[in-house]
Amino acid sequence: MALALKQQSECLYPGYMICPEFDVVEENGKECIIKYIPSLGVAKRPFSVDGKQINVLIATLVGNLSVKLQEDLESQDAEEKDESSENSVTADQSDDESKVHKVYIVSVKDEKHIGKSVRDDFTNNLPKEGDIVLARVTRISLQRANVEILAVENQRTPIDSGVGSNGSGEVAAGGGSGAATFSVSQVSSDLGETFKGIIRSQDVRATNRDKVKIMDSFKPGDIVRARILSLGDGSNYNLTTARNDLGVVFAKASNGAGGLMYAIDWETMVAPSTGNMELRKCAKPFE
Amino acid sequence: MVNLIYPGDSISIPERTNVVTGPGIYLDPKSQHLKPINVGIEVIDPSKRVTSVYLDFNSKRYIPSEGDFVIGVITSTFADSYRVSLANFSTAVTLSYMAFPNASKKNRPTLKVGDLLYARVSKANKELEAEIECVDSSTGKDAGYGHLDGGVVVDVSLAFCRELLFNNDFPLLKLIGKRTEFEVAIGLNGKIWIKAADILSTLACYRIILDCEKQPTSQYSEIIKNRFKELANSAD
Repeated sequence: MALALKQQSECLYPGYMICPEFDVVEENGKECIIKYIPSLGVAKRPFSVDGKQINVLIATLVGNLSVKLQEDLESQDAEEKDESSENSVTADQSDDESKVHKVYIVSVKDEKHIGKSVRDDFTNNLPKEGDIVLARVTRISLQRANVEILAVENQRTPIDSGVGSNGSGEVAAGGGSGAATFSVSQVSSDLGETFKGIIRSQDVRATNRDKVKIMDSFKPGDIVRARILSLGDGSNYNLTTARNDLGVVFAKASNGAGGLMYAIDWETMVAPSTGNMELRKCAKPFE
Repeated sequence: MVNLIYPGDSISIPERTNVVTGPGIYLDPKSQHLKPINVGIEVIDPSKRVTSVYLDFNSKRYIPSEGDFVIGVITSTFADSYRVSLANFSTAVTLSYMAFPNASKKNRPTLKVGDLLYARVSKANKELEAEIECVDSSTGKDAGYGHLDGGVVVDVSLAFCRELLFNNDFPLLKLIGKRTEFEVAIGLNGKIWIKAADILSTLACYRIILDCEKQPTSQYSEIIKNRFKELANSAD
């Protein structure tokens, strides 16, 4: 890594110049070209020095610098070049891109949230395709459930929080040990400022999709853990709960008039004080 | 003896009975106590297996409930359903194209926007839009539901409609029947459709129903006589 980057541990501010787009370092007696890719809180801008234009990365947020090595370098290279280079030895090709040996992802993150499970940087972490979100059911009809998105789960945590994980394991609702962190939307639900979503009846569960009754899956007021299928039509995200770890995670009996209910199986919740049972599409209630 | 009770009063139900609650009675989900939430006459009916408890109260706002006969107006048509208004300023209900006798994907009903129809509430969930049907869903046959052609609709209170529909001793329809032939459809959503042989008689029936709603049953024959007399005079 370039020496210049290592020294920047103090707080960056918007407009701060971090590094040029490309850099060359000496590694084992060989010349190694490094490319820096801007990520969250970093933008690529042209910068002229002595009448010469170069691209530099500058910070766009207040925070601390984070530089990560891009893992799948070869696939990244292949994508950028379009035409195939079967042998990964590309050093002797002449153009700049082909000489890139290392790709780093540069981002600026506010570290005041580190160690907290709830973060308020929702605007820097907007719901995108594949994200897990917590949403509240606002309205149901026979074909769909309308929800509003309250929080985005920051990263998917393996069921054992990554300890002894053997591949793509199941993810427990809430990240098992509570290790998942959330970015909580700060906008008002009363004014309709939250992002809206739709869970269609076909997207409620993975099996027997055509027989789903929304009434027996969600009720208004339920908190649902769902995955973003697509950005939808601009006014609504499309969400799905068709996975074991997705579904209702928090619900009160009688549309909120009763007590808190707990999932006892995949499709039933019970209120311990009264013993009344209600039907829901529950998220996996146990690990 | 009738027992008028108010919201928040306690209801005297014999213990250890299976109770079915009806209109005006609310089961508090936290305390599990039954509470009256309307002003009305308490009805406790300890029939065969369960005791039914409800309040007999009057109102003009209709809330759909399963099995009710209703009169509605088609307000719009969709790909596979009609929207039907049962009362002004209330949420419309859905009437599926498949909820008609001999319905199939190809054979669509021919009703239009603005048509009046008689139907039965088939689904009424408080979280969902209610659904109505124009067919007896057990037999799949026509059961007298469907388009109401001609005639006139009277808006009255819900209790008056219940009396007319369920009380066989209620004298109004019998008394009108002595004066003229007529067809009547009674919707529990506070609408009565009536159609007599000619327009003057239909108009007389309309006025009679409106007047009788506010009067004791003993006055009915007098009101009916007067209304028909007035119209006979105005026709000359």
